[in-house]
Amino acid sequence: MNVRVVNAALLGALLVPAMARAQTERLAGRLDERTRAEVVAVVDSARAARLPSDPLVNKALEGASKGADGPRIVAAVRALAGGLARSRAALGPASSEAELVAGAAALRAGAAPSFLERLRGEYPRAPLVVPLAVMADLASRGVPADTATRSVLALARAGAREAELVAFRQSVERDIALGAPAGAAAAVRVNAAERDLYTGVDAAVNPTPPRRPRKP
Amino acid sequence: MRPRASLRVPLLLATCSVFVAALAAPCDAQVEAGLDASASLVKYEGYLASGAASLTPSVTWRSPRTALAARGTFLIFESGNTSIQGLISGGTFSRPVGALRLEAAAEAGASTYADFARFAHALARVRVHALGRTLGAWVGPLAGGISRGSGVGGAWGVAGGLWVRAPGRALELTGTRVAAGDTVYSDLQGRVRWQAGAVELEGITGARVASRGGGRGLYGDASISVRLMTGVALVLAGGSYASDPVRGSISGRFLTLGARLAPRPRARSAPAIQVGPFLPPDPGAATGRLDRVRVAIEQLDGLAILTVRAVGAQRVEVMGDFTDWRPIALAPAGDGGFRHALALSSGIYRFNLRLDGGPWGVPLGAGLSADEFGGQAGLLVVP
Repeated sequence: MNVRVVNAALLGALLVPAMARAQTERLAGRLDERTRAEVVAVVDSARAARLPSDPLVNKALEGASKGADGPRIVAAVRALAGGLARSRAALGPASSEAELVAGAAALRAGAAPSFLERLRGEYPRAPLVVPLAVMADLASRGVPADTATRSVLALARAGAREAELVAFRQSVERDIALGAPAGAAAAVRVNAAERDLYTGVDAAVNPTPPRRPRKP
Repeated sequence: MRPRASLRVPLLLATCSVFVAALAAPCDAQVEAGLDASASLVKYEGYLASGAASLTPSVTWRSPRTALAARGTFLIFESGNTSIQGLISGGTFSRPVGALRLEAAAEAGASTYADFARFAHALARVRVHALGRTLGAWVGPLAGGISRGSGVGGAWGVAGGLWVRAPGRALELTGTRVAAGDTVYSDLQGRVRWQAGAVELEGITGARVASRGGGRGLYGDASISVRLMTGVALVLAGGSYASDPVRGSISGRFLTLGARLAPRPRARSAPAIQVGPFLPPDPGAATGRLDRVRVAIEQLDGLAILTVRAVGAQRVEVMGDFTDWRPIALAPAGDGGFRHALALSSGIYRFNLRLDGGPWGVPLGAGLSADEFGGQAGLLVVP
C-alpha cells in the first residue's frame, strides 16, 4: 500500500509539471510575451486552486484566434477562472471539469449560483453538463436569464432527461429562428415540454373542447 | 341560471380553490384560447335524432405546474331549443417527492336545456401520481355536490389510472367508481392517442358496469383532427358515450364535423430583466450565423465524428477547443456533408465554423454561448 502511494506521488510529481508545461507551450507563438505571461500566471493560480486549467488555455487561444487584444484576452481568462471557482463552490468539489465549464458558462450567461445549487439538488447523481449548457444557450439566444433558469429548473423538476432538455432547446431555437420573441418562445415551449412530460396524466384541466354534443 | 343555495358553498369553494391554485404558481405562464364551431347529427337516448350546431369558446391559463380553464358551449338543435353549458376548472401539481406528485384540482359547472332542465355541479379531487418517463399511474378520491333541477345531493368517488406513452402515442386505462345522489356506477375506460405530423387520432372505448341508475353497456368514439394551417384544424368525430350523472348529461350517439381555431399560445413571461452579459441585438451581423448549416456529433469506435451538412458549400472549416482554435478543413462526404473525426473525451467543447472562407459563426444544432470577444461560440456536448 505504501509503495503504491509513493509510486502514485512520484508519478504525479513527474506528470503534473509536464502537463503544465504542455499547456503553456500551447500558448507559445499565439500570444505576445506580456499577454502570455499574464495568462500563464492565471493558469498557474487556477491549477494551485485545483481548478481545471485546460479551459483557461482554450479561452486564451480562442481570443487569439478571434483577434482580441492582449488585455481583453487576459480579462476573459481571469473572468473564466473566477467563473470556474464560483461554479465549483455552487456545484460541489466532486463536480467534473465539464460540469464546472458548463456551470461557468451558465453563470456568465446570467444564472445565479443558487440556480446551480438547485439544479444539483434536482439531479443529485446525474451529470449537469446538458442542463447547464441549455441554460447558457437559451440566454445566449436572448431569453432573459431568469426565464432561462426557471425553464430549466421546471423541466428538471418534471423529471426531464438529457434528450428532453436537448429537444426543448431545439424547439426554442427553431421558434426564435421563425421570428418568435426569445422569452416568449422559451415560456411557451417549457409549458409544452412539461405537459409532454405529463402526457397520459389526465390532469383536472383538460380543456379539450367537447367533441360530443352533450345535452342535459 | 342560479344554483341552489345548498350548492353555492361548494361552487364557491371550487371556484376559490381554482384561483388559489392559479395564484400559487409564480412561474412563466401562457394563455391559450380557442373556438370550436361544429355541426352534429345526434341521437340522445330516448329522443329522436336531431341536427345541432354548436359554438365552444375556451380559454386556458397555464403555468408549468398549474392551470386554470374556462369553457362555454352554446348548442342549438333543429327544434330551435338551445343548450348552454359552462365549466371552470383548475388544478396544480406539487413538487415531486421521488417519483410521486400530488395533484389538487377542482371544477364547477352548470348547464341548461330549453327552459326546463338545469344542472350544476362542483367537484374537488386529490390524486397521487407516480410519474415515470414512459409509464405512470395515479389514484385518488373526488367529492362534491350536484344539483338536478329540484334535487340536490352529494357526489363522491374514487378513480385510478395507468398510462404508457411513446413519442406521438399514448395509452391510458382508467377505472372510476362514482356515487352521485342515488345513482352509483363504475366505468372502465381506455383511451388511445396517436399523432403524426398534422394528423391526430384519438379513440375511447369503455364499459359501464356495476351501475344502479346510471345505465350499463359499452360505449366508444373516435376522432380525427387534421391541422390545416397554424391555428386551424378540421375535426371529425363520431361514436357513442355514456351518461354523466355528475355533470348532468344523458347518453347518446353522435357524428360531428367541426373546425377548431386555436391561435398560437401567447406567453405571459416575466418582464425581460436581463442580467449579465448579452449579445449584440443582431448576433448574426456580428458572427455570421450559419442558419442553413446543421452540425451533429456521431460516436463511432471511440471517436466523435463531427458532421456538418452545408449544401452548396465548397469548403467547411472548424476551429475550437479541440483544434487549439486553429482552423482545420472538414473532409467532404458527398451530398452536402462534411466530416471530421475527433478524439474527444466526454465533456463540453466550444467551437466556431465557417463556410468558404466567410465569417465564423455557429450552425444550427449546436448550443450557443456568448464569448468575451464580441461574438458567439457553439457548444458541443460529448456524452
